[in-house]
Amino acid sequence: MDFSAPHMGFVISSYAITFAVLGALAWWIFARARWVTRRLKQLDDEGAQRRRTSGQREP
Amino acid sequence: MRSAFTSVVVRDFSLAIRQGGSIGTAIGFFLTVIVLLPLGLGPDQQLLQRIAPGALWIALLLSVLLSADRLYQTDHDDGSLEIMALSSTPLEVVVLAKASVHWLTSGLPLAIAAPVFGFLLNLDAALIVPLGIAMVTGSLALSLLASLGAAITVGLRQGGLLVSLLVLPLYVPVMIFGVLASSGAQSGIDNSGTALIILVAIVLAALVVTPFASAAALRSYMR
Amino acid sequence: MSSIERFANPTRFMRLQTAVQPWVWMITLALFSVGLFLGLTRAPADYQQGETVRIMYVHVPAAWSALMVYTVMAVASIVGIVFRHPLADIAAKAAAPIGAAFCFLALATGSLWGKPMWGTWWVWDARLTSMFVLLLLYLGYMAIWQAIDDPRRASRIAAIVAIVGFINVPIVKFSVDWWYSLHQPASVFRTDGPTIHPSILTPLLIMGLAYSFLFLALHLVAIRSEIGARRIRQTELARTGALQ
Repeated sequence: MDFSAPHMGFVISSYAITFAVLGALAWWIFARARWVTRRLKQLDDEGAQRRRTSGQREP
Repeated sequence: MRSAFTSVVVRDFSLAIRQGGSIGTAIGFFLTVIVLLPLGLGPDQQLLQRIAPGALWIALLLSVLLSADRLYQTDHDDGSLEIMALSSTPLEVVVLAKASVHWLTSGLPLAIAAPVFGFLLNLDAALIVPLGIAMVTGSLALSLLASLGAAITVGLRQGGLLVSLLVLPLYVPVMIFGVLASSGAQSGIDNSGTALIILVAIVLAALVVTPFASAAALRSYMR
Repeated sequence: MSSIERFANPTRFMRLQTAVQPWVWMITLALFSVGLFLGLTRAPADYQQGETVRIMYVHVPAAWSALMVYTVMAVASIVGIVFRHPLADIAAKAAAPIGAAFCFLALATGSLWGKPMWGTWWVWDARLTSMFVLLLLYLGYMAIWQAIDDPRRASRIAAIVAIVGFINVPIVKFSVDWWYSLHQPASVFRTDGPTIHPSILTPLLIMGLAYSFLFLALHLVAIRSEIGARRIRQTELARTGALQ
């Protein structure tokens, strides 16, 4: 590839924005997946806690 | 089924006439756009003449869209929509009836009046008739699609922006072919006949899609 | 039908996804590497456009993928409404942000290509307008999911939007042939075969495949998240006693 060609800035910008957007997209999808996993674990732990303590709350 | 259609039409029509319905909003908005455009663009009469068909179409399109926004709102709020859904009349027929009334009371009168108001934009007099024909045809599609947007957003609080976002993609082909059909021989190549045929095809497609899609959307809100 | 039922079980899907995911990523990376290598080093520069033609290798696959993903969304929506497959509307919802990103990239890279080639950043011709409309459809679809709280109701309304909006996909494809356009007419997906030289066509097709596998990789993760999010919502509602 001839880097001194005219309009090279447009080519570089195109590839840059492509990787930036795709990278941001992948990051967001993985971040959401991490959040979901963490929250589910949280809810599971709370559920286990409730089951342990509910036995002592008998009227 | 024909009598049920007629009864909904008669009911909505008389409501519209008694309360003024959506025609007030439609006319008001239309005139606002048409009057403000020359003020904003400047007195260049030739420029105005070139953009006149497109500008009139945009004004018509926006007026129909905005006035259809609350099409199902009152019926949704007071529960009559559920009664209509539970009745023996298919909801699709009800949708068609309401959209037809909206067209008869807003879309059609505007479509007829618009070319006449073209003088405000220095519209070429030879275009008044082709514009009128194209607008009368296209306005039916505009009313149908606007009612579809209203059905999809009836239960939502922030429905306004969403309606525009959803209906705009569907309006684009109507607008493109509508303007092409209106311009007659203005652009040199006379595509207006073909464009008008395509416009009719779009109207027919809208007539089929709108009742089913709207009814499905309305039913989703009622469950 | 039995294969659909086999994948209908969310737990089964999770197991399948975990097994398949690493392979999909490897294939994606491989395709991107080969495609970019061939496209940027082995393919010739255009005798008219010079090096700017290399933008094609990110612009065209993005546009193809934007259309492909919308088709996936529309088909998933139909399956959801007609067959009531439980994962269908989840699949549709998960696909939307990915498709929207591809669509945005198609428009952005197209604009960056158009400026040196035609001298203008944008023109409201047939193809560009319908691609812009496609982006609006994606945004409207995603907005529906945001606006409606109940997932079942949201999925139905969103499905209607996706299906009705699908008319735009053939319009994008055929618009360049129907009316006057600044944009290049079809040169790959034509009935009598592509008109591009293989040294340019091969990297292009490889990049197209790369984008598709990238979509698959991200889509699987997104579906998994969405299944989890539904479970979170149900659990939270049950905890507060709001679920009837």
